Amino acid sequence: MGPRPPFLIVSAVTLILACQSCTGLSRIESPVQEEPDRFVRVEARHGDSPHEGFTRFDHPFPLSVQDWNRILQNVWMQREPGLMALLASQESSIPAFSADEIAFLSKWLNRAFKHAHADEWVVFGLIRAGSPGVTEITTGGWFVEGDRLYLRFTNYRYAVSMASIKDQLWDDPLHSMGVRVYIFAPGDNQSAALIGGGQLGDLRGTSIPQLAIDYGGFLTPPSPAKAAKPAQRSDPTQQAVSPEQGSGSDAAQKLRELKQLRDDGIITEEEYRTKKKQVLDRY
Amino acid sequence: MKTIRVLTIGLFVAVIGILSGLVQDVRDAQAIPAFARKYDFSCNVCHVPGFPKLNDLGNIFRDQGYQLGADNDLPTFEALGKGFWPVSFRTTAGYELASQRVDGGDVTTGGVWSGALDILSFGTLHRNISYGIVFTGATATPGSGGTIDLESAFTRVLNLERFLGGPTNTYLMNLKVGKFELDLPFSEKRSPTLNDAFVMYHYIAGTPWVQTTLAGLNVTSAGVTANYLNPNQFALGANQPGIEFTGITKTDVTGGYFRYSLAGLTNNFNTCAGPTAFNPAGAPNPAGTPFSNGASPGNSLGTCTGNGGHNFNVYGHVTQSFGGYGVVQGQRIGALFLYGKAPTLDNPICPGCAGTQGNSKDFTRVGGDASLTYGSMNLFGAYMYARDSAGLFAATQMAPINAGGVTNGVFQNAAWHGGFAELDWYPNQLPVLGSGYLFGYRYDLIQNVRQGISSFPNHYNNVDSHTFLVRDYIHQSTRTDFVLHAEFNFYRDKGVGVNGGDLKGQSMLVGFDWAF
Repeated sequence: MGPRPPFLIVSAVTLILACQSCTGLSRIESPVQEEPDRFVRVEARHGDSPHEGFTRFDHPFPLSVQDWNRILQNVWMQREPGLMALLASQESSIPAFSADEIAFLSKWLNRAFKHAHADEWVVFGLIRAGSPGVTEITTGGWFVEGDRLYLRFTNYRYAVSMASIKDQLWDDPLHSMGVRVYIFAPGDNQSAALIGGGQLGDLRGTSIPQLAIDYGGFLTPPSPAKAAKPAQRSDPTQQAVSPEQGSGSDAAQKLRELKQLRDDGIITEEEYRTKKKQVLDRY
Repeated sequence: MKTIRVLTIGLFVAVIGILSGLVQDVRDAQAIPAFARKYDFSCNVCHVPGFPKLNDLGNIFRDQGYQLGADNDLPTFEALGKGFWPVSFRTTAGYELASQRVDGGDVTTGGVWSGALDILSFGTLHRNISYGIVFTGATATPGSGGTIDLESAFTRVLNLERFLGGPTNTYLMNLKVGKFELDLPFSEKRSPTLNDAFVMYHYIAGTPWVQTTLAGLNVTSAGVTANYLNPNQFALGANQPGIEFTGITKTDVTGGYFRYSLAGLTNNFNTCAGPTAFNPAGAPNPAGTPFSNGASPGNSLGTCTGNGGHNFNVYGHVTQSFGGYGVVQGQRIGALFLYGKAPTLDNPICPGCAGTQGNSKDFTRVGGDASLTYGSMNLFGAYMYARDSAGLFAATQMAPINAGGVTNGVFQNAAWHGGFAELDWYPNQLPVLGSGYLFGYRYDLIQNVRQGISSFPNHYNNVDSHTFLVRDYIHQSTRTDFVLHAEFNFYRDKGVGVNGGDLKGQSMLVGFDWAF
């Protein structure tokens, strides 16, 4: 008497799963800087579909802190136009990183790329406070190929309320949660694309925004005329925030203090909103 | 039956196999995308990766009247002008195979079915004033046309304590008026199971339990089961009209939350919809069995007299959590009670119209619930003791007699234990399948202590139900959710056949569940 049909089916599926597991992702990571709400690591990845094919990067890649600062200041984002764009006006671009984030990344990307090997990504994670009970998480990776520096945002300002999802993104910063609200707004010496996603592609929303930066051209000392204004981009009215300004962290601290005063009942809701608006207006 | 079991197992594992091959980069998805659009959130900000189950923040957001405490809660927030409209749609469609068997005969059906379309609108009208509307339209099923229903419509006024000199940013006293889902131990409307109801929330003493199916399969309507009438058709799981006081506050000592809900429910929508006792034509009259009422084959037995009235039911539920809200973090315990009266008196000047107040008979429910979390697992369950008073059954004028016209039964209080336990697992990352899955299993139980008519054995209508489910979040955005869902259920309802046999049912659903 032969095996029963359910047994055969279960066995077949188990075999399929076992074979697939042979092609699973393997990662070797080493931290460069780990903090509770941000990190930079170098990470070798093998067998990772949307991120493979780049296993021979031109690393190490020495770039000064000042150069990183300049590059990061000129990374801008814009909301991805969707169906509602037909009903609403085009939104302006925003700097991809806050002043604090630029200062942190400049320092640690500089160190990470000095030691990164040819098969290693430089990955990062950042957390910002969002609405009450919510944090916004940005994760992604950098690599250099030829004369281009590439940045992928696997998750950009992805809103999270559950610790387990934050842990997941912290554990694997190149894992996309598949929710893309922003895309790059490329400027001079930059080009943007959506990459990955596999056969199901955008149905699953897995395509990842990628920015290619011609760092050679970008870091060429600008002519006096060009140095007077920031790089050209979709919304020239917006300007990058320099780390020296430092107003972002001050504003954030003041907002936290105001929120605490409101939560403690020391100030009313109306007073809180008025003060909050004043802080944001100054910012 | 064996064929359907083999097919079910095969389809279930095939779904897993296909998913593992094609769908490795997956994510999470959720339920009222209007909120996702409003706040630019992905769905798992408010739901566990198992839409539509709410996570801790989602529950708090709901308890606070759909407010986070931010400026963009308000409908007048200027950035909301960009395409936001507080309306969402949700439906399910898929292939369902269902079978029910009783007393040696069975009925089976299979095909592509679509469930109801829910049109949902929830939101704020102003700071601390919120509302909810759910409009449901169901497609036609065999033997019946489509239906539409205003399933829920309510208004909430929150933070009433501010009128008593209390703080303006707490939610200790909130009032809801309208028709709404009760504060159940675990919301059925937010359950990841699509095809199988929580038995405890819908069980009616005297009515054989049949799980709902998209195909509308119901073997009891074929008159092959025995039952007795019960004018009390109150179901905890059904949306109820009434008023509800609620409150939630963080308890620093436990690191969790204390919540309460006290609802007064109007009961004049109670109609005696219970099936009429039936002695099928041509069926042997099993002398000596408790199911024979001594009437000629083919006759309907008894009359239903309670179809209206003006009564008031009281429902309460309190919970205390520790180390979080108790759904994705921390643990939670709770207690519930219900005291109600069901009308049993006809309208004397208009038989068949809504009844008049008076001659109401009481019923009670008391129970407790608990929710435990560990990593990405949530084990939760509830227990309830229920009692329907003897007067309810006496009012049906059914004769509790046996074959030959010998009275051998009496009307008595019906009592039963009900409960369920469910384990949900939403792993971050599986070795092969990736992420974006929810796996669930629920066990539902009804154990009768006494029947409303003593000639029915105590084990009559005891229910054991097992439900398994897998959900894969194929796509999510801040606008839409798209989920592949597979669910399998089998259950046994003891001794409800006219010949005393068990009713056994099973169903399998594979389909798409989406919200926009």
